[in-house]
Amino acid sequence: MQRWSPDTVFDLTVTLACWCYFTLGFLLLFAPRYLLSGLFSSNKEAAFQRYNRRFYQVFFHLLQTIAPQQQWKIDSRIATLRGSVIVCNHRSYLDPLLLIAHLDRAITVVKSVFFTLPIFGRVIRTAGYLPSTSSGPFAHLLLSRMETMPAYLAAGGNLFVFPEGTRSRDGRIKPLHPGALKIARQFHVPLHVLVVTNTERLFTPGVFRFAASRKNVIQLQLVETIPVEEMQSSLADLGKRIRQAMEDGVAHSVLDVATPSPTPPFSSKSIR
Amino acid sequence: MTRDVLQEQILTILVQDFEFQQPGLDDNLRDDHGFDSIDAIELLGKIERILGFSLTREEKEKAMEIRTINDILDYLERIQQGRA
Repeated sequence: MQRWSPDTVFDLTVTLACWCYFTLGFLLLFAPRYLLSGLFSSNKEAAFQRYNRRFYQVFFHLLQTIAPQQQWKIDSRIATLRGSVIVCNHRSYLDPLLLIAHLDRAITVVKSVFFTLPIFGRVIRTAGYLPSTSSGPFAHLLLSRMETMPAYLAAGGNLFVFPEGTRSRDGRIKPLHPGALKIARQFHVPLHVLVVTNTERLFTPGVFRFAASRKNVIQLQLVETIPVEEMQSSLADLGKRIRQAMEDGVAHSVLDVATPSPTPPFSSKSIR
Repeated sequence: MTRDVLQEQILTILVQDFEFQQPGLDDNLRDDHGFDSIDAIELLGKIERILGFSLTREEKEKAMEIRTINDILDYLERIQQGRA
């Protein structure tokens, strides 16, 4: 009979705790709030964005508490970003959760199929997220979102996008889709480039279990800002600039488990 | 507005504003020129300025299925005929 190592048992325990939070935690702690806001709030979109953020903040608090081997280096400037388009490299399913938890107001592009799911679909639809396709029933949704985008950005909202379109399995930056650039140009807002590293070491693509027992330093850094006045360069030039910033950011992020940062993921500096 | 005039204006927009290089009338906009739904929405705004009137939501939704420049021209002709 196979005996599990203490690390395996620990990883499974952390995984179970996380999934319990995602199911029971959502149902008991957050579903009533979403429901009340959905029924009575005058600004459902902002309310749902706020609850999404809070839901993932609690998730990372939980992870930080039960998996202390994970060290977090979060650039405190990220929480101050307003009214912008944000692009980030993509390594793990944790990445969008990390960005939602750290950005003051955030929407993102989600695979269209998720909008058809019973509860999750309703949450992301009400929160103002964008479908990734524009065919069939999603044309109406995308057009609506783009019509309200100027007001959303003007009110300080952020749109974040993973321009690689999917998770990179080898750490190299994949070809970048220019959609986020086009939106930033179209609506005259700055574009920020973030780099995330080592989330895939904690929650590896294709692996169900969190590798919580492994020492790890997860970093989320703001590595480049392209102001509005510089957004009129060609898409090719802007794309090169973003790629270079991401590659440099990845190269400079140090996997330094010997001297981890004391900064927790939700220090008073990084959360307003 | 004739089809030839529309074609000239659309080609000018695609080259100047969307950075198309040597667009062909039957090129697949997405595959050959990276034209995506964000571009389509921006182009609709420019088409409204060319036509001099606003498109309805239904007309805009139909435009999201366009695949070629000839499709755009067919679409514009249908809209003009519908408003005539």
